[in-house]
Amino acid sequence: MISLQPGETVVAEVRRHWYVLFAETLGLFILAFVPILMIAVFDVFGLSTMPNFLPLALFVSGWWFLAIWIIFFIVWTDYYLDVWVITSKRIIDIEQRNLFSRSTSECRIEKIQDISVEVHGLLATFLHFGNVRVQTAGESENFILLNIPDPQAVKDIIFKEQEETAHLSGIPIAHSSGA
Amino acid sequence: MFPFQLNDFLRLITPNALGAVFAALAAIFAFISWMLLYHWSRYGYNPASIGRMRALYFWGAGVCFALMVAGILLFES
Repeated sequence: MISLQPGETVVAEVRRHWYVLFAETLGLFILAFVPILMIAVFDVFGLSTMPNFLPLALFVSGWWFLAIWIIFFIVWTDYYLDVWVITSKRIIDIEQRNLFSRSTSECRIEKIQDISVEVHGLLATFLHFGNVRVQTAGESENFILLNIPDPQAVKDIIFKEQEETAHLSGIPIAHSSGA
Repeated sequence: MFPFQLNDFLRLITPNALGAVFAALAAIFAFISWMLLYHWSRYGYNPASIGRMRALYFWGAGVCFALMVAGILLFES
């Protein structure tokens, strides 16, 4: 969980587009049909009449489906815990690489210099997802929000928060943005 | 040659052997579930959606285990 500073509020939580999860789990969905295919193949070769075929088919199918089910939830966990949190003061990048590898980095809103939006490809254009690149001042690494839904809206949210922060602190902001 | 080898293999399969495999799978499942639940409760951001996914996860796993139990119960030694 994220510990917020005094006066800080969460403005948005951004995850990758659902298409990313769909693409990662499409192979699993196809693999789920393997037991049905195998039963059909056994039937064609006349092996379905051997004793205990049905109990064995049930047992192996159950094992197979369980393995796919667990892998799906591991992939979903990676997807779900990989998140960018935009607060009124910071952008927090939480990257879950796998179950035992996790990194968290953040940049302050007032440190942001440029924000650019990239939408590449047919699917990204029609499904409205893309990348948001956040360039920060100093030597800190830039933030890249990959394959997020509606990147233009996310860019607008960050700009709005930056303007409000600048307004409250009385510091003028000078940045440019690409879309 | 092929049917002989298959029959040899099938002779090794007994309800007890299936039960042992089932127990091993249940142990692996318990360990992975513990890992997933730990991550969901430790790092999850939306308790409502986590609760729904937890219910879905155990429901689906229950169906898979029911298939395996049915296989063991129907097996005739």
